[in-house]
Amino acid sequence: MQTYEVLIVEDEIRQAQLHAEFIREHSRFTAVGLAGTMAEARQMIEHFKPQLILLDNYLPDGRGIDLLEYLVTHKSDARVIFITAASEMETCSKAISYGAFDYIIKPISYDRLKAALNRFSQYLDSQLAHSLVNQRRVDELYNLQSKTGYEERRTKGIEEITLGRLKDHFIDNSAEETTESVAKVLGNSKTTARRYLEYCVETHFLRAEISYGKVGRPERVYKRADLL
Amino acid sequence: MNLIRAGVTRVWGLTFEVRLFFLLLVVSSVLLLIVGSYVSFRMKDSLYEQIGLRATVQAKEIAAQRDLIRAVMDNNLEEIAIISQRIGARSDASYVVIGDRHARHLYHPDTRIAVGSPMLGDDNNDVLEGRSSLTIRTGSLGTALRGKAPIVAPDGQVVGIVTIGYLQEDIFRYHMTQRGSILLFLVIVLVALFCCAWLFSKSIKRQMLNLEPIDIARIVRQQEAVFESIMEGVVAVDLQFCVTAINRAAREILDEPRANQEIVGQSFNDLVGFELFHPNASGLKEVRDEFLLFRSIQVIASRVAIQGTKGIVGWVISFRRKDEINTLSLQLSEIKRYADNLRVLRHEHMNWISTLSGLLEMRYYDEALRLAKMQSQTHQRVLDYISATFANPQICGLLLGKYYRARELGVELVFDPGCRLVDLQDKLAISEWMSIIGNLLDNAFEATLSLADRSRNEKVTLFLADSPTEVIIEVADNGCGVSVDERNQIFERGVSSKQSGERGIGLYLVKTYVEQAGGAITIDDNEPTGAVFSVFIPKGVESANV
Repeated sequence: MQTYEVLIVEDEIRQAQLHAEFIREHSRFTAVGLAGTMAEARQMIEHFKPQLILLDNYLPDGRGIDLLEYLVTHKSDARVIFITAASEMETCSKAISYGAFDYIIKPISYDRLKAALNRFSQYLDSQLAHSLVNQRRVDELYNLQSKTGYEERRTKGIEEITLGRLKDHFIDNSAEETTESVAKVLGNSKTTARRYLEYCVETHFLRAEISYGKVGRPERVYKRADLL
Repeated sequence: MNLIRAGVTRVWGLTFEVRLFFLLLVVSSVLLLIVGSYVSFRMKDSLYEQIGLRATVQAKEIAAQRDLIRAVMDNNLEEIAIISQRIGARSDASYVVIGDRHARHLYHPDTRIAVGSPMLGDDNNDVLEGRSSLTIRTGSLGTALRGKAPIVAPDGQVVGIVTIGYLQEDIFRYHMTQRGSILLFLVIVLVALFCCAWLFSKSIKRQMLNLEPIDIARIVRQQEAVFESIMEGVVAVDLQFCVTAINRAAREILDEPRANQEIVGQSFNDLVGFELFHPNASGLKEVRDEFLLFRSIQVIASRVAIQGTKGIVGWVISFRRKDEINTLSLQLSEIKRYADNLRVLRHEHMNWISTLSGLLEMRYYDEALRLAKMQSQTHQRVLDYISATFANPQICGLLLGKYYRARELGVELVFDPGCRLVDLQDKLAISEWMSIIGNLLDNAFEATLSLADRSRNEKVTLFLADSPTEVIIEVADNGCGVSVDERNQIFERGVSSKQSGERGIGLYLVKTYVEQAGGAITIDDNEPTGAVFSVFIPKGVESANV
């Protein structure tokens, strides 16, 4: 099995050593360098061409986020696991938009780091053998935990009992319903009613359409799919 | 205006008005002088010509008189004198002189000149040979214009000479009386010119706002420099709403690469890609600090009428980026809050370290590890949830940012368990999707914050999900709510349900993008208070078939 090379960018030397030690324990990764500054990091990326970079945001001569931006805009092959403190969620949201491979909040949980490393090795493995796996799977791996399609995700937040009550209501009444009327029937919030109604639309039990009814403002109305 | 007037610059100690007056006066006087002397010169010429003609014609007529011919042939001096005096009294000539065929006087009005004395002037030979003549010669009475004609006997023989003389001094006197009337006329014209020049220079000065040309040039340059250096974008338009001037800041805000000359004359609405002026709008009003969208850039714009002497002659539109102001005011409050947070954080951190070191000291290693992990766990969980649920990194970034923004504001952002985003299709650009979601969330935060009663822990719930055929974005808040009356106009530009005026443009953008994608927005009341904004955007046909 191929091993992947990791560059650790972290100015706190003791922590960097701990990272390196942890990575060494993982059979698929080797730490090729420890960089304490942006300048060192750039040089080492140039020299080692690592597949993965553990990038801390706080560096004495700059911000990790800028290095990430640089790598993304220059379409570097190196992937980044971005590490920030909990107090810097704004930087983190920026890192997400740049599309770092993963984001880890300090203090680092090594279990979380291990999960990220595993996912990374899977990702590169499948990318190397992409004749076997379709592009969608690769994309899913690139996002955090493997993404599921419409089918698997759909039932989240849907309880059988409530769903049954909703369906019964529609079977008993053939009239058009809105979230407002359904929320009253279920005794739930409108957003919850919406979730159930949309679930029913996706499973083709209900039909939804926009009606420009009595008040002039549009409304979304639901009726049974088997009714005209 | 006072500032400008203080800077009046004089050339040779004279104001523009006076200089213009003198210039006009000198030019017209010189012209008049030239014309006058030409006329006078021509007049003298024609006077001599006319008088000469009169002299010869009279001389010929007199010479043809039978009684004179007979008297000369008879050498009847008495008769000649009577006829000559009669003619002299009737004619306007200065004198009449009759001579014999040897050019000797037969009659002369001056009695001192004796009969038989030779006629002076050496101009008699032609006449004695039978031709009449016109000469200017000095005779016994002085220099005169003299017309001479021969007196011819019935047998054809020249028997004498008739001389009609106009003395030069008589002609000169006559000339002078005529010139006098011309001079009088010229003086009247000159006075009229004097008045006209004065009024003209006065009125020019008034039109130039009582400024010297040199000052006007300086002011124009100064205004240009000021215009260019203003940080606000400024565009001036005429009554047809075509651009007459645009400054550097305006070009920068609009990201306009063309030079000024190319922009001038273009329609303002085309320039900013926004229908600010309706072509046949009447009764346009001056507007201050209005939220507008110029070339998809949010700006705060004001417009002011240019007042001419006869009403409005154009408009000036000034604008600045909305975010510029936002950033400034936000920065200030944020820095303050940041400093406070830091103090609290540091304190908490010290407590935490001392707990940790205590646990380590007491060898409660597992507990120490749990304490350390707890620090990042909650954040890591939010982060992992967001990036696992929504398949688009930019949307994830936005949502994470909004989640923590809400937290800072004391509002809880709740993701509905049904959230999931598999595929945002490209009916809208990603920035437009972000704008829809971001603006709906900001709107909900503000509605929540505007509520007077903040004792309850307020929630904003986001339901963001897509199916193969549709994208649904629903934001529910427990804020001030939107009354039924407001619902029709809340999406209009610049309409806000609150005083701040901030949210007007946000919902306007949401509506614009949603309509662009062929979607719909609905507003409902939330329980117990607040509003639910729902956006439904159908996916394209291609995605529906997946």
